[in-house]
Amino acid sequence: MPEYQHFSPVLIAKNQSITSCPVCNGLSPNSESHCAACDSALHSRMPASLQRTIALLITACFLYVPANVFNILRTEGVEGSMEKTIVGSIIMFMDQGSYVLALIVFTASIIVPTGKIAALSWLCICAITPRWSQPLSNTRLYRLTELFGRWSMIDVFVVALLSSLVQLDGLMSITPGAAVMAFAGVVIATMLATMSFDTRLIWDLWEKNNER
Amino acid sequence: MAEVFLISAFISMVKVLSLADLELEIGFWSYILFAITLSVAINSIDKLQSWRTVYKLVTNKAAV
Repeated sequence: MPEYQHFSPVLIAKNQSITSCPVCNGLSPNSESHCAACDSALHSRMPASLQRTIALLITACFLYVPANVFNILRTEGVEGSMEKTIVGSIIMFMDQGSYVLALIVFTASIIVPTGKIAALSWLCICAITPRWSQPLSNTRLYRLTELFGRWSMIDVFVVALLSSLVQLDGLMSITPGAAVMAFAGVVIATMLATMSFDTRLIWDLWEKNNER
Repeated sequence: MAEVFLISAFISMVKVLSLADLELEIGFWSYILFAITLSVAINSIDKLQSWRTVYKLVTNKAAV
């Protein structure tokens, strides 16, 4: 038995000719184009939500390759220059013995982006094929991706801080590598993908399943 | 984003620590307090209640 059955009389706003405002949650009749309270544009379902989400996810997948292949940091010191990729810097933290930092960087720059891409792809698949859809757990999954999304900016901030702090002419300098832009692109694309996914699509399928 | 920036500041401090000596001054401690209070403030806003107040002001009647 599906777990959402115990709060059964759920009214779906679309069937009542009502639209809820994405900003202030106020309810307006379907005929209105803008919210009466906050004047933001109203859509019963976000236009082209799935297409936008899938397009941004594909962009993120493509950007994730250069983000991991190229170097993220280039250190030039007295002992010569050294270049590090994302995985390389995690291994460097492990060698130094700071396992907590290695874990933080690993979570923020590898688990979170890949997890987000996987979770959103799963939500898109579920929105297309109703058979596997589990509305309640899918909603929780969406909340998780929304909550943890910005934490993958850690790596970009670290590179920005280090390269602005360590600029000692001749002695030592740290410059950002090509991967930083690609990685920032991954984070931005996945955040936009999360925003453009309409959560109401999850519950539309539940209604469709019940009609059958 | 302030708390994300704080964590990345910690990480880059550990990285710099192997190259140079660091001394933390009052700006750093106040930034920690700022990040904490800002995220608590953002999380404790009741969005629905504030929009209801706006709606009352705009339409001059209670929200339905």
